[in-house]
Amino acid sequence: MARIAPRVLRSYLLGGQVPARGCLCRRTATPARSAVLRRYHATQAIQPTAESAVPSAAIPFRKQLKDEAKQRKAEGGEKISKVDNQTLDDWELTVGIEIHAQLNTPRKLFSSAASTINDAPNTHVALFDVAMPGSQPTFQKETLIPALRAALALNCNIQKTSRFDRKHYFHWDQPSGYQITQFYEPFAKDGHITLYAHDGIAKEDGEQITIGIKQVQMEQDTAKTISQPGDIHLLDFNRVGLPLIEIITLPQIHHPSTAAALVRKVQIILESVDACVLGMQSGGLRADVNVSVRNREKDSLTTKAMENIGEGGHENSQVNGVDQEEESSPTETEGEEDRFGSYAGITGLGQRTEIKNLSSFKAVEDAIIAERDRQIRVLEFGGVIAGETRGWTIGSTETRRLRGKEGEVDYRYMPDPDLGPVIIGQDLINHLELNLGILPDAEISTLVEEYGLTPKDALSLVSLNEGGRHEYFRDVVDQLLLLPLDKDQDVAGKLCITWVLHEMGGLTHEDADEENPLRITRDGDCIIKAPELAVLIYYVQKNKITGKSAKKILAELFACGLRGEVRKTEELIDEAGLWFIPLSAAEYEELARSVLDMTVVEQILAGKGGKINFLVGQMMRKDGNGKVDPQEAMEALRKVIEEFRK
Amino acid sequence: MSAAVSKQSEQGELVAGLTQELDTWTDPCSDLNQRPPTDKKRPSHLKFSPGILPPLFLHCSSSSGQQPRPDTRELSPSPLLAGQQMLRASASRAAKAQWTTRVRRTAAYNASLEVARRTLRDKDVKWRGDKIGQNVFISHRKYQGDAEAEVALEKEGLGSRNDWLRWKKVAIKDNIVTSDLPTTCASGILQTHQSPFDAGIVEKLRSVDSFINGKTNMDEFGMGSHSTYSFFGTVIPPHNLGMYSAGGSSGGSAVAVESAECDIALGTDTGGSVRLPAAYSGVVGFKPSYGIISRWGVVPYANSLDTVGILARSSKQVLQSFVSMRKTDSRDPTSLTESSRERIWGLRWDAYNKSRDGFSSKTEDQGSTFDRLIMEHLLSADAQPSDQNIRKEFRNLRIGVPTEYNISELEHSVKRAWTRTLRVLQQQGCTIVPISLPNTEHALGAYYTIAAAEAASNLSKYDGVRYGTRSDHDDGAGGVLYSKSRGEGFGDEVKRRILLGSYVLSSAARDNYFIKAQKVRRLVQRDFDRVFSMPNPLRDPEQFDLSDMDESIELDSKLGPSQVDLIVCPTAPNLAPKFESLKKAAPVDSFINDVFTVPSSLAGLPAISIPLKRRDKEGPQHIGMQIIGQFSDDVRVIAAAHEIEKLLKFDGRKWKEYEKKAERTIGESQWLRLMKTPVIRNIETEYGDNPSSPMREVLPSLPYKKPIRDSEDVKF
Repeated sequence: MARIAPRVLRSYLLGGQVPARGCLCRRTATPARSAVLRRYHATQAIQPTAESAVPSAAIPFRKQLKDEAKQRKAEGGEKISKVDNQTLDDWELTVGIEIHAQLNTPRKLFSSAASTINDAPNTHVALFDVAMPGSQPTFQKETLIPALRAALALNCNIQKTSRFDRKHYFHWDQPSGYQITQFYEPFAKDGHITLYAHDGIAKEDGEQITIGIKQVQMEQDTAKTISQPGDIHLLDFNRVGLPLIEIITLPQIHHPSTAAALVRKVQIILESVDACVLGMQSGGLRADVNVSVRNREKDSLTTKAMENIGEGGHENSQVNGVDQEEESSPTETEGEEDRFGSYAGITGLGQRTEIKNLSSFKAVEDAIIAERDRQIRVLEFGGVIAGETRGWTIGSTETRRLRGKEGEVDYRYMPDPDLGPVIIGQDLINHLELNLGILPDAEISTLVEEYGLTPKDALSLVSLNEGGRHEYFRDVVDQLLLLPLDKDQDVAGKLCITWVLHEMGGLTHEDADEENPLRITRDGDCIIKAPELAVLIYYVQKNKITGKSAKKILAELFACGLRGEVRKTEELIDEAGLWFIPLSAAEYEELARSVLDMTVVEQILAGKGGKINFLVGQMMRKDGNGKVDPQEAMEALRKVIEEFRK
Repeated sequence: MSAAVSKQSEQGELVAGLTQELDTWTDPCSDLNQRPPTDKKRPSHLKFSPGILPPLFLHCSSSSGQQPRPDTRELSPSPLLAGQQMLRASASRAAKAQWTTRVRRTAAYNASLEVARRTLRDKDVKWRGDKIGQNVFISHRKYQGDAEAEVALEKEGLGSRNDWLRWKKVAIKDNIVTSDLPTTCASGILQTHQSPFDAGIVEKLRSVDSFINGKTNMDEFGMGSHSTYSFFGTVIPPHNLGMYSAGGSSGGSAVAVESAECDIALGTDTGGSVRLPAAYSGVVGFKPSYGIISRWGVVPYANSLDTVGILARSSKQVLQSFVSMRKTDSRDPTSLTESSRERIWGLRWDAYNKSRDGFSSKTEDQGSTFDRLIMEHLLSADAQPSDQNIRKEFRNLRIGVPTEYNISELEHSVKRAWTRTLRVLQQQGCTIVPISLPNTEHALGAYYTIAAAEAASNLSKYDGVRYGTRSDHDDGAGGVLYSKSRGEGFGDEVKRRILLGSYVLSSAARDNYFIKAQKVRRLVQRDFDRVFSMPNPLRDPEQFDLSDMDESIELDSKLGPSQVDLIVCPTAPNLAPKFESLKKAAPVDSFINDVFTVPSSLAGLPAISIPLKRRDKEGPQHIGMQIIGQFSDDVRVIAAAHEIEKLLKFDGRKWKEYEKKAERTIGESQWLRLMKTPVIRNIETEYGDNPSSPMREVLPSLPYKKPIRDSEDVKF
């Protein structure tokens, strides 16, 4: 069975945190810390608004701020949290996201130079990569495989024919003066991605939400710039020409945390199908967000009006169509879209701005909140949002203007005359679809539905030991079901998860290796053999040994495993003499007497019957072998205490 | 050390650094890999430690820009030497001895090169009575002794002994890269550029022991029709007191062939850049089908139109060199693959065998196609020029005469030569058929839109960072990145076309220009597919609507007009113009020279220009006659050119005899009637809908007043 890399799933478990080596690598905060940070940033994002807003009762946002401030005071000065800042009453936020991910391929997109990350600068550069005059691109077919996997995982329609286009702009990190991308005919279109509550979407979005993906396209990466003092920029062309995919979503996101959840989920999916490069120092995955707001009441009227204009006044301005003609002239469409505030078939949107180059989930969420608030502020002052490109620095409170429409580069898209169309055969698509493996969502839902796990446990399980823990868990359940326990799989699963996840997780030993004390491999091999654990669980379940004894045996199995000894569970129980043999009534009485404390007895006799539990506890503690049954113990105690009443 | 020196050594270092990197990288496609391990004795100033300092850098600081720097255009041999040594450093152990001999020689070359360049710098058009013309070569190898000995020294008997190209002197247009001579594209921005690799076609020439004896002058990046827009000065042909244009953009190559400086020359043909100078300079110029000869290493002007062309003194030489040049090259993504070539060969075989009065029906029994027949006879040493079989085949040809080519700009003498040629052909037994290529009038505008768009895109790589000259100013000076480097490096014509290309691709104009031009291109291709009897092997057969056809075209049957094997028309509508008149003319006026060459370029078809000698002693001595064939019909085109060449013999006297004979034997025929009718269409009258369009300034015939069939079925 295809297994998901643990680091992929760990991100689920840790609520959006990604390992330091992950795509969005700069996110290093622990979950606990990040909650603090979030609050901190969210507050920062709000504060300037409060300061700059002019006092006016007519501004609902200000009113809202005041209310929120009051509420904060009421809650003991607690600051507004990001969770509460997902939705505003009067304004609707709309976000579309473009995600750039570096494909996991051995070669560059158009040259056979190797794709490496950490090699010495300028050591993997082909003639074409530095745009040497006379050199030509050679499309590396292999780059299609991870790109197709990604597109399939995002439920896209793979286009039989796709082409490469040149996007022109001058920058020193772009040797040829243009980037080869897919503008007119991308290789994948019309996909979607489903986000669930456990993905961290805003609670306003309910249990799940589906976001459409407009297209996925392949393109080249740029060179790495190393800036030096004195305005000198050193260039490393190792990265130039590496294959990227750009994933463009529809503007169907209305909450900042859903946007962050989407980026996170896209990353998880790309990793689980082995499409994306991890371990990048930077830029393994980058997101650009398009943000617009509209007044919920006012703009819905305007929308209708605009739609009327669109139908009546302009025969050709069917802005929301996706017919062939429009495809062939996207610029026109773009222009139209801006005029009518629509994008990819969604009309009536406010003027959007683009925030470029966000490199972490947190940045996505914070930047969207900051930009949303900025736009609302401008609109409430009666201003107009300019279509512009903005930037965001981590830790800042405001997006900053990078360039306006007038400074916008006309990319002068042109089909690349050197590169022929890419024809993708259905057989390749079928093959990749079959071998795509199980996506994280499917795996978790199996665990929850068929093995009776809680989503949290399921997430933990799949994220440990590169999937090995999950494999081990399945083995243990299978073994347990072979024993005459007579339980269903979901019950067996519940029984096993406690042991596999919690009890085994607590095992320590001085000889154990810190990273992976149980030495669980990807295939689910462990120093505590699955059948032995299953037998142990079975005996516990059948009351052949007590839970406490079982924990001891588990520790013993662990210690043996570390020494490399193979021992049977039964043997160990025999040796330790831990088979559960009920104590005789006399033994109980003896034990009860030994723990008697006269003060407690008096209290009990005085009517505080609950105190008896304390003595039961004492009895259980006293018995080192876990043979004491609490019920029996209590009976014995009662008997002894009653004697004192006389 | 002055700032300038350091800058130049940076460039040297840059190239050196790159080469070192490329050495370590194993790419089966890169010729650099075939170069063996790096020699340890790298000159110290070329050392490059990638870990410490990447070799490429860029200044944006204002302080660095204020440092006074001497004129970097003042050439010093150091960058060139650095390039040479760098390549040598990576030479193989086996070839080491040869490389060492070349070291010494190259130093001598460089010295002579410097002299040559300084002379080239003289941009004044003055004829000095030079027998080989002026400004013909940008880099010229002054070799001692003969080419044979020279090559023998270098190659020591490697390579094919049977190849016709063995020991032939080949001049190469300066936009085809060579690893031992600079490749400047006749541009200021690449004036010192030493390419680290050989073009695919140059590799081929070296492998058959040809001797590359220089890089010829041209219009900057191939943009021009008279070889006047060169950083190294106008190409001046040796004849006629140097008064007449050599044609362009491969003017240097044409003059080098004409003045016997080389056996054949390579040019590049984008919209007629080989055929036009061939016509003006009186040599044979052949543009093969698109994708037949490798473009790896050809500095692109417009990738979708560029082809490597051959200039020679006879069609036979063209064929002899063409057969060893047409090879698949996996590094050129537009090169026809081996499997495509096989498929096309099969289609051609079928087409020949099927056709009733086809070209090879007679040879069917022998199991040989016409291609093979021709090659056997032309390529074997003892072939008789008047071989009966070929002659018989030739007589079966149906020759098309495009009525749309009878334009008002057609000079009288050219028209007369055209008529004569057709008469002679008819007298030989060929069938002359008037044909219609209705989209010809749009072709020129479409060509200048597409070519300019692709050129603007291709030329955006020249920023001076990795190669080429760089402005003394900051890269960001003037507020736009690289504006100074590019502004100083490019010539006027190149800038004009970059502006034009950028405009037609801009979001506001793209749909009205670039997209439309692509549709026109498709229509032009369909025009040709309709008139040729052989189907286009690259496209599915199409149904053609009779209503598209010109009324004057006579229908052969109810199925439509007859189809033809080849098209014969002039190469240019005029004779080689005087430099004097060019000075007066607007830059766009020379576009009209390309009117007959551009359609076949747009359609990717093979075409050859052969020179007809004029009887007049005054003015240019040659008129170019062009033969166009269907895609992949290269050999038949050359073979037909060979026959016509023999018939006309470059000789005015014989012409006259033929003409008289023809007049006696041939009465009034339909094509002749059509020829006599005055102007059919005026190319230059079409203007854009928008009077304020900047295109009006730049292009005479854009966009398309007459509605183009802008239907859905026309894709691009």
